[in-house]
Amino acid sequence: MTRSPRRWSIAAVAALGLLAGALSACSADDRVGGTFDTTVNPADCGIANLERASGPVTVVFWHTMVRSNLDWLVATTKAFNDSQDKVKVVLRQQPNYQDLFTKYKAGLASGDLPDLVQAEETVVQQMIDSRSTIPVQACIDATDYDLSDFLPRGLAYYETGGVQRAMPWAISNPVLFYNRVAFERAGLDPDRPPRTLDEVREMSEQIVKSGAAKYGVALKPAPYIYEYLLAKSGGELVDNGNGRRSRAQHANLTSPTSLAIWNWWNEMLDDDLALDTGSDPNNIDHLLALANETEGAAMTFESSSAIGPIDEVLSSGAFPSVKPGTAPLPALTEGGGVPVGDGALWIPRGSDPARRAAAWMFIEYLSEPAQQASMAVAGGYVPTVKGAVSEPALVEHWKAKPIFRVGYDQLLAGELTDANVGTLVGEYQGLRNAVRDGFVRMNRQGQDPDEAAEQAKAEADIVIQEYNDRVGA
Amino acid sequence: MTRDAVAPGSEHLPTARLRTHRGRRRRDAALAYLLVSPSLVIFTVFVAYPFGRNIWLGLYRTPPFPGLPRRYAAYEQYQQILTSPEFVASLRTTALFLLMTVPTGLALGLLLAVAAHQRLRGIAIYRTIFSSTVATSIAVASVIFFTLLNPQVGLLTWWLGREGQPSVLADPQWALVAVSGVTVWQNLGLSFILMSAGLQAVPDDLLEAASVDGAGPWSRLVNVTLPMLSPTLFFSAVVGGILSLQAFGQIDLLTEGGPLRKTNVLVYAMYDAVFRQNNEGKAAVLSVALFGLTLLLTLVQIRLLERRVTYER
Repeated sequence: MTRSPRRWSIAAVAALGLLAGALSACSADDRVGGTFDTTVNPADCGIANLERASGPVTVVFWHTMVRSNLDWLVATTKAFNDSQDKVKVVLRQQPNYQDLFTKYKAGLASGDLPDLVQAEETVVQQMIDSRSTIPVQACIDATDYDLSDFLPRGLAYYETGGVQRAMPWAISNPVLFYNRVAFERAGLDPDRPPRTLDEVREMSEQIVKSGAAKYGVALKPAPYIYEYLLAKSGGELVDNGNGRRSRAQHANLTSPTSLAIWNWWNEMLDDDLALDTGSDPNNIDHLLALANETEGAAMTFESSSAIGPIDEVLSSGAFPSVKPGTAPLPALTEGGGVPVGDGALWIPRGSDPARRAAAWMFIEYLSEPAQQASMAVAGGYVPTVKGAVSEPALVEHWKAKPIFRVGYDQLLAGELTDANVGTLVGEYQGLRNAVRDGFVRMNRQGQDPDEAAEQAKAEADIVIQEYNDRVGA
Repeated sequence: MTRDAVAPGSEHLPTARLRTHRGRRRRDAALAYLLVSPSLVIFTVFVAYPFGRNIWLGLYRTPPFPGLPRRYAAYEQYQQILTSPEFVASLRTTALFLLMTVPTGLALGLLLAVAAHQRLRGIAIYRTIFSSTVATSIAVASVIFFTLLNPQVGLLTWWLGREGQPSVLADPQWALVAVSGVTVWQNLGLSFILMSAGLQAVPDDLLEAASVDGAGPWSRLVNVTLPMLSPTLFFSAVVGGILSLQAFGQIDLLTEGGPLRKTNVLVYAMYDAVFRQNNEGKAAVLSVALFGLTLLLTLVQIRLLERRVTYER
């Protein structure tokens, strides 16, 4: 049997196709070298697939909600499932952000992945590098979704190269907590908390001198506290525009702004104005210090998401000497802003197109003012949309308990800059480990703050470059 | 052999005998291979292949996510990781951990076993108590000690006079000691049982003879009991050493390798490389290093210690 010319042409076309496939595979790999893949294909969202689907489409949602937030999520998900018959959301609780992301990364190889995933702000660059999600921009474009009601800061962290990668959902940001009773006893005005780190120092001196508390402020050497102080002071954590202009190569831990914070921290401890509560991520001694009359402190820094649990504990009336106040996080300078922290929602690429659209439908539902308001009431998260603030439930809640409002107000403050919309760096956890170890050396082993920052920078740089090397950047 | 006896003068018989001999040998060999094949297959699939693959994986810089290209780095990755300060520190931590857990575990186990090796009423209760930690998992042991060492409510914190200070587990100076303590406590039951079993086998008449010769309790222990126990001691040292090199649970639960990486033993560094950094190439290099270390330790133990072991009874 001889081969006809027709067969040859088929073979040639097939070979060309293979070549093209190989070439396109190459160009896909080349994209890894850049920081951001900015292609958005609205069809990726699968809206049409969802419309064609016959039965209800199931969305498996990995989340990390606990306690009152979990109760809220279960109730809200049930309400969503009952409200329509196209989509059914199934909740899968994970222990915490870190374990969830470990499981997610393991799932990239094994294929055990959800259809919707909650992740914290530190994993944005890794999510982009993994190319395992579709940008939610595809769904925004496919549905002409209106973003104008969202807090600009909430969106900004998750937007790179003009593409919205994920949707902010359960958000928070670190704020100042203080004990109004201690402020009054020290002769300070409890309605005028400190706005700068200098004022924190001055007021701490007065608190200690007056005997209102043993320490002015309880400082937990947690890297995120330092990061937020830095961002609000206008300092970029990593180079190349905080990783937002191009891929970060170095940590900026020894910039003048950064060193000023390390030195402020060190002097507060040296002068016995601040209490070091240790770097164990699970301990809440800095919060307990507010309630400790003999060995405690009058102020501390912690995420706004802690307001709920604190309010719950204090409502029991067990600590009459504590009347909590909250205020925006002080910084080196006034007028700065902070990035949004905590949970955002990502849509994995591996799931079926109809499921992606179904996941987006649930995101839209969760982002409605009514849901954002009830979430803020239930667990103390900051609403992602301005419309939530005029919902009666939240209006009433904030009127009754004004301390809950601070996280929202702080996210509206300050101009958006590279420094304060959020850091993009691949090996964020490695960077944080280096910062934490630097603080431990300074606080516990008496290392000079400049040296501690220098050594932390050297360690962080190795981690950042190793990661960049491995993603081929 | 009588059956194969060769008649003198016959020419063809030796070759025939050789042939049947060879045939039988071949048949024997085939049977041997057949019998050995299940374990050979299991060994190849689950030990040899992964082992080789692991060494090979260490030659590559692996991406943090699947789907990205991995790059061949030859021995460079081995060199880079094995000379890094992080690895050297981890090796040092592993060695310290070994030194703090194995001899202490052996000594305490022996002490308890000698103490419980008495003919007293109710001694069984003590034997049960001493061996009870065998029944706890390392997770349970860790939780117990985590609570005991809690800076706010921990009993041990109070005994150590460390109230108001951060936990021992957060103290770079003491964290490894604390983790070692938990490990010794958890392994004590096993050590006690091994030593007790060893003591049962020491013949009473030997000890009596020593007594008659005027040996005191200390002299009996050192000159009779210990030499007779030497196989048990040797076994416990080798097994304890390997267990200690593989310690993971207590470190993950108590310190996560910190503070300042002071408890970052090799196994934990491997875990961190795979699951936190998604760096399989690095983890492969570390695991090859751990294999080398275990091999070296076992060889040293066999060379140095086995010479002093008496198996005679």
